Amino acid sequence: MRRFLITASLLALFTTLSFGQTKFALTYSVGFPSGETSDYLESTSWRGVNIDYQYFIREGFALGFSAGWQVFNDDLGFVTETTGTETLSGFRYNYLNSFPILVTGSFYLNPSGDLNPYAGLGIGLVYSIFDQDTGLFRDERTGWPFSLRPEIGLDYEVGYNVGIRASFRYNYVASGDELPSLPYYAFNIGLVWSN
Amino acid sequence: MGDWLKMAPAALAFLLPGCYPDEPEFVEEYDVVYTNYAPEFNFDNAYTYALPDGVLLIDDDRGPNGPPEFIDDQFGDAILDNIRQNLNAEGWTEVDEADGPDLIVLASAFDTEFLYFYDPGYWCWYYPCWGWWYPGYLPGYVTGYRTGTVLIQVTDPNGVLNEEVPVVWTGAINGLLQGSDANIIGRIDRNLDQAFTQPPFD
Repeated sequence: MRRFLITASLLALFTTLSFGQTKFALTYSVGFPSGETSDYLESTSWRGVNIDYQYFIREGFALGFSAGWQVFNDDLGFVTETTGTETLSGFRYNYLNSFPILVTGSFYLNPSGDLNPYAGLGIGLVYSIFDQDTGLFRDERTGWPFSLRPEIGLDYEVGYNVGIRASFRYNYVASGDELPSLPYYAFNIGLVWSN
Repeated sequence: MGDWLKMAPAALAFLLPGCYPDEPEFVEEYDVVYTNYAPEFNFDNAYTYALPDGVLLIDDDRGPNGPPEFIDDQFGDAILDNIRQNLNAEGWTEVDEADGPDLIVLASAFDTEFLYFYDPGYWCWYYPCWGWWYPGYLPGYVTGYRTGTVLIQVTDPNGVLNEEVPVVWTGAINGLLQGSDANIIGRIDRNLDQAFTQPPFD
């Protein structure tokens, strides 16, 4: 609850700031499992999307909001698992649906140029749905673990206030709510526009 | 505002259903084999066992006090033959129930939701009307729909306590009731073989 209050307060703060330059980005995301995520899901995720909003409080520095959806899945084949005296076997499919919802801060190195590299940090929560299916039966765990996300990227302006964005992010996702830590890397590419 | 904040995560979770790409393609991939057993029971001994002639049908529409009903012989015989082969491979010997077997193996089947536990009264025609207990373990449970389950219980008639029969091994196989009869029998066979490779029979 406390975490949601913090998130909501920060969002409310952004909406009360006077308007300045803003940027929106819509990007396609390719995810790569990292850390403990690799224990459950080894395959690259080709299903991901992000939407980012940034508000410049001074030239070269923006606060913002970022939301996304990344889907990982893996076919582990026939699996036999024994816990104590219990044994369960069947074909195992693992799924992770990760919905990061973060507040962000970003530094732009060349705000007036066509080629504008940036570095940023996001902090917030990730709504995670982690499923381990054995045959017909699904062990589903959901939660809102804490997340920290460093990012580097590049905006390339191709037209008036419109550009292409490419970025690389590391999504650290803490364990919690019965979920293991489920971090991943992501490469993103898409459109960015500003006003 | 406080209520809104409390509801926000639940509302968002409702709006964010998961995506499940590349789910299983073949009916076999939905099969599950579950086993559990009494940890203090020594499964390494060469026991004698008795096996009733049919696989009992557990049906929600039929109470335990009615006459027993059995599943179709083509499926029942396949199940009983497989159990026999696997237990004999363990060095166990089948005997008639009148000869005082060490263990009695009960096979039953469901074609609706799977329950690891059902009214022991279904076996009153065979066993005295006693209850069951699970020495040193609790079998888990799985639920499903449009599924078939074969449940095998190895019971110890010599360990009856307070009119409850100890179930020393529980094996359940569960899967979708789809495919030809031959396909279903093949899957039952494979899954029963799997059950007898799992602890404590491994």
